[in-house]
Amino acid sequence: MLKDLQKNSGYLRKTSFLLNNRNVTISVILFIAFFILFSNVARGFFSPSMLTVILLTGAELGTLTIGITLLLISGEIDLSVASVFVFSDYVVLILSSFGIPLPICFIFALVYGAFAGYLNGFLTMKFSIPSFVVTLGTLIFWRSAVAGLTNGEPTYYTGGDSVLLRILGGQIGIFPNQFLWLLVFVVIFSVILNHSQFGNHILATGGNKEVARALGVDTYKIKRLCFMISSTLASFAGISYLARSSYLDPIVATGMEFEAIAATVIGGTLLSGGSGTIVGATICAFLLKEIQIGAGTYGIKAEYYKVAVGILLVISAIINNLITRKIFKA
Amino acid sequence: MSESLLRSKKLTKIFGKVTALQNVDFDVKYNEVVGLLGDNGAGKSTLVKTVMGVYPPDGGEIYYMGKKVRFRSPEEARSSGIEIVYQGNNLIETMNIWRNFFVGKEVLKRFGSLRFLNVKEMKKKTLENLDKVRVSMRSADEYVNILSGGQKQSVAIGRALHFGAKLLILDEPTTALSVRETEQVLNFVKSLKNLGVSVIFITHNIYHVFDVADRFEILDHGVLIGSLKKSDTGNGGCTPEIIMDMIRKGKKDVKRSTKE
Repeated sequence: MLKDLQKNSGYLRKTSFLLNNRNVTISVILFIAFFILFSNVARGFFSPSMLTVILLTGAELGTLTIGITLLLISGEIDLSVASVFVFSDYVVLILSSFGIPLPICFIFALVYGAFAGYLNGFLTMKFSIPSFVVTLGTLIFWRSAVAGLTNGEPTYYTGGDSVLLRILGGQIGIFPNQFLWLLVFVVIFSVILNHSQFGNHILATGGNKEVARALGVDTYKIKRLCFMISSTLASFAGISYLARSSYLDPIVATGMEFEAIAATVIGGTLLSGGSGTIVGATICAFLLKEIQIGAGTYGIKAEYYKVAVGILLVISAIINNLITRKIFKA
Repeated sequence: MSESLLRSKKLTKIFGKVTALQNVDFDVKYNEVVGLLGDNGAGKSTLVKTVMGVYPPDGGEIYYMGKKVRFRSPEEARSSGIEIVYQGNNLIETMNIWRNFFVGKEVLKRFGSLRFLNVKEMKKKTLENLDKVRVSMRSADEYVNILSGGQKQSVAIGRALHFGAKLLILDEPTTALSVRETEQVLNFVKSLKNLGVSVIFITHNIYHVFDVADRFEILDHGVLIGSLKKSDTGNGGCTPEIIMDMIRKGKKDVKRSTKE
């Protein structure tokens, strides 16, 4: 019996360590591997400007993955992030065209983001509809609303320059400001997830809703907040995109929600909820963008990028499942 | 100490045409382990659920610590110190032990105006409390889903005790366990008495509960058909066989024998 116990506890410690760190480790290795690969085969990939592009686009995607990660851990999903992203841009553009100062436009856009998340949460929980369906609805709704309101044409920002634009869309050395913002968000939300009561309640809610409720966790509130964080972050990513590009193409960021979900899952978050890592998801956001840009530089057709994402997603889901089954004895 | 911690007086519960509980007078004294026995469908779960406030009673009264009470929800009962432990149903499988222990009652530390989890303190307290129920874990970081059924229950019970439970209701704690795990669970049920906790041990297996319980209450079809103290000596004494016989024969036989 003692031998049994010893054998067991060694196994447990090993698997716990794996559960906590496996995806972060794998993602970092993959990122470095692809970086070395593309640096060697793709002419022009290994340059500061390319790195900046990876950091910039990765940061935009990464900002979305943070919210998606929290939501997936809490046991819900948000497909509407990319649509909220573009609609936030529209909010800023339309308000600024009335001469409203830019900071106020940005605040309104973020408030809109929070509202969009609240709406997702409200519809999901009030009517007990899967969030997959609700957010698919809001994905179509917000995206189509932008397309309709702009007649499907790119809309330009016509307001003046502002410090805010540079804070959100500028660049320090080779580091785009979005990347620095993302680092701040990653730290804040990782601390919230792992070291705050709210984070503990997110883990509990996604792990087992009924038990969490019986232990006094307000699971509705937790989920509602996760929806709101997700949409607000999407909104922030949207306005920082606008800050760097100064115009809105209504088809921008189409399909970005799936990239964000893919990055989150590849990064090690369980689709079934209760477990996940923000750091892993964020690294995978950069990994995906690195592959996209590297493949593009090498001359591979852009369409094949999504092929790679699809393959990576399925492989990592399989690996996740195998490891999870080992650990969770499912 | 003959005063009751929990007592029900003529407790009745009716579901449609079925009388699930009929004038049940049940009690648990301080520091007592009561085995609540009966075949499947005898009303054991209905009794505790009615006490806990899951179902509102249709008649009768409940007294807890000398006061008349009527819990409207299990949460209310829990906050008064009555905890029910279902098998594997009280823990969040994807979380590690210390997180499970403190869900909803996290220990926080201040950092300026912010408050963070006091992880170190929670881990320490978790291990200390598991030690009290004679379960030694190497680390509070282990995930609950890799624990055995017996370990899971001890974590759930350790948690209940830490947060001031006075009465533990164990619902079929040994039913799906291996022999070795059953022994573990029974061992810590014994140790609970030293911690000043009363226990209602629900089971249909007298051989599991006989060793640890002080008294046995036997239910059949919603009626309390027998109450035996282990210290009873008269009328053949109190043996597992006699109790088993009562469970097997049930209500009808008892009625018949009282008529005769």
